[in-house]
Amino acid sequence: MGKVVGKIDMDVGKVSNISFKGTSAKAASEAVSEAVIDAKDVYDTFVRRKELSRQLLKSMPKSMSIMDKLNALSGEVPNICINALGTAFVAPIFIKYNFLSKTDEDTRTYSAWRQPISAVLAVITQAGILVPINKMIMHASNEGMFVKLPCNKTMLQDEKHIAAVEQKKYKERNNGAKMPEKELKAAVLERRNEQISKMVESLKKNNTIEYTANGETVRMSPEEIKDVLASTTDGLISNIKANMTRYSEEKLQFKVQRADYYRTNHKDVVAEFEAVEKQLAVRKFSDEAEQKLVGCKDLEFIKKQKDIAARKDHEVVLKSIKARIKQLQKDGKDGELVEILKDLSCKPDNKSMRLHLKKNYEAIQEYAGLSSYKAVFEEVAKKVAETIEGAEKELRVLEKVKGMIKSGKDIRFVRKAGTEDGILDVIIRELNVKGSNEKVEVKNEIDFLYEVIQKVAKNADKNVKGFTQSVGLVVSLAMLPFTCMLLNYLYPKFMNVAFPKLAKAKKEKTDNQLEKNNQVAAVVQSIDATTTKQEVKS
Amino acid sequence: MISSVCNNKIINNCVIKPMNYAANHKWVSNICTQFRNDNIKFITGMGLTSIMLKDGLGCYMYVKQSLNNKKIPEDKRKFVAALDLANGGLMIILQLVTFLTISRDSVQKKIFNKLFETVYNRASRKGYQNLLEHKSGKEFAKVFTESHSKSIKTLGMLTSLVAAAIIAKRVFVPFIATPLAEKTKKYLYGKDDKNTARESTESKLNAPKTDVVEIKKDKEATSNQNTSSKLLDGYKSQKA
Repeated sequence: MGKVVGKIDMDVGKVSNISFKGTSAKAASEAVSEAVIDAKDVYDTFVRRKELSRQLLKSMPKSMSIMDKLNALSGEVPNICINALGTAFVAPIFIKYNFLSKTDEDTRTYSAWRQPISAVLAVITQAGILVPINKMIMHASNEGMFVKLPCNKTMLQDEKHIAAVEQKKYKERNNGAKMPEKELKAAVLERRNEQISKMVESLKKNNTIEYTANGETVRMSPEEIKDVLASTTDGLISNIKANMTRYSEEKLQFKVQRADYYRTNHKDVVAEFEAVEKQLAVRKFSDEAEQKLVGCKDLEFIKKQKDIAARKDHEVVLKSIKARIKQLQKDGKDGELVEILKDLSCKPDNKSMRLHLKKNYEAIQEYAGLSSYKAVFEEVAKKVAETIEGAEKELRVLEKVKGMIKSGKDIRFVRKAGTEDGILDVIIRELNVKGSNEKVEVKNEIDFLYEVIQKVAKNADKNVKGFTQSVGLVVSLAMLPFTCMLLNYLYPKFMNVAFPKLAKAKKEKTDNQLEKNNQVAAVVQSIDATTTKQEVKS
Repeated sequence: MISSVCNNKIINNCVIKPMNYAANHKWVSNICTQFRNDNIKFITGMGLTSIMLKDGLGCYMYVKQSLNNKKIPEDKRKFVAALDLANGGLMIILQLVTFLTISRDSVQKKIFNKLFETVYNRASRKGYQNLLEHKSGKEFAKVFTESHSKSIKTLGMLTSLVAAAIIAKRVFVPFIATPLAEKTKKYLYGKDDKNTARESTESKLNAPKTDVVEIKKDKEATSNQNTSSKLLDGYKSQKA
């Protein structure tokens, strides 16, 4: 466990942001243990990527949003719910309409009703007890009640938890009045920024990350921070390796195929491109808008109207490309030509379409002059190799960083003559594929720190999830006898109240059967006695 | 509220301390490691283990209940208990088999491609990249890859759970359980003649047009058959 260094005050404004943005590379290189970036940049990366994910999800089909929500729901409670769904809605159907069963319909209906009742009871008794337990675990992890690191989330708390805490504080200050949504959102962002900045500062100055356990500030031990750095670097390495595989296999194959098509069918492609260009030249809506806007001085309005017109013009082009694709598919034309047009139709506006056409004309010019498939392959492979070489360089640097982490090197900057580099020194100086400059160095540093902080936050998140699921498993198993007992007690009562006829029929049937059994048992006994007598006689 | 409650010594000793102990237990640490590594098979398997354990415990309870249920005629208790046992066992086995089949990488890949190939193929990727604002291609690639792997993970968990806990357990088990019940019956009662005779009596009892007189006739026929065969055996042994 980390060393306790004292109580932490988490009040807003007490944690100062480090701000060295704009420091030149030269100045930075002269400084000792000095930050090059503003800690807020790392936070901005968090916000930007989250927004990008949100936008991506929004532009994808709705099914993906549902999938995303379902991912957030994983755990023991959803397991119970899925199981209950099957029990409540699927099982009764197959019990009632099982053509293989010889039992009469009343009994089947009576038995089928047991399923939804047992499902409801399972959800109430098992999920019902797990939801507050899960909430308690979440609260405990966000408040630092978990003494050790794995399940402690105090270094970067959940947005929901921060919002609840801020809301509570506001209500206390304002006699129970609710905090306006906008203010609450801003408060959450500020608190997150503060926490991320604190992590960046702590990482760069003290080679560690601080968290709170039972109200005391604890530092992550060197082993713990080493683990985080190593797994972050491993993640980056596996990403690069996956990209290299994608480049050397999928992309190379795709590029060669496309380039060879340009070589052999360039006339067809050029004809299609020229047709699109003609469409692009038509600016019907844009021209109309320009005419209408003559004399207008409201710049914002002009921009808005022009954007609308440009979008309409783009829609016309898009429509014609899509119609052409359909036509080609109907005629059974080349799949590659269709793919080329599909790629073009992916462009969001006419401007990027023109740019795409320009780039592809250059490619056609380049490959149309080549004599064979082999020549095309060599040309494309040369270009892909350049990209792979860059990735290989990154890989070498990260392997070096991994070695440094293993040998316990500092993460912070050292930058002192005659001393060894820190991890960040190597990252910002050597992880530059296309030459080194201040901008690239800053980007490398931000990216790496972002990755480390995200790893810490995600690790805590996943640990809590694992712990919650383990608790869920034990608790729901322990609750099962109670669920069964409750079912045995409630099921006949429910049937008597809800389906008295069915319950009566079932009871009568059971009574008749019992009576019949007793009758037959008596007969069987008498026959047994007779048989024994006969055997004895013989 | 919880923080104020936590100041209470009892809560601290009964909730917080055990929770801390459990969170740092070796077993939980191992589980957390699998969660950190995004081991989908393990995570889904754990969810399913929970369901199967509950089925197992439920099965044990049903069997025990059936064996001690005085409302069921004594001669039928074993049979009903055996049916419960077969049903529970079948549920567990079928869920396990379905999970092991569905969660295979090759199967998952096929399902994913069938459902979401158009969302994550090259053309769509290019389309989204053009549509969305981002700082660099690398950043977009990262977000896109994250979304891709998240979807694979969710689909993996969902399909495995739905296939095992709904389709296998709630659709297949009832169908297989019925013929299996007959086999269980034969296995349990087909070992000795006395039981077989009782079984035939029972099956006739369960038949819709069963008549006490008919059973009497049957039973007499069976006993006569037994007697004649015994007489024959006695004659043979005397001759020998």
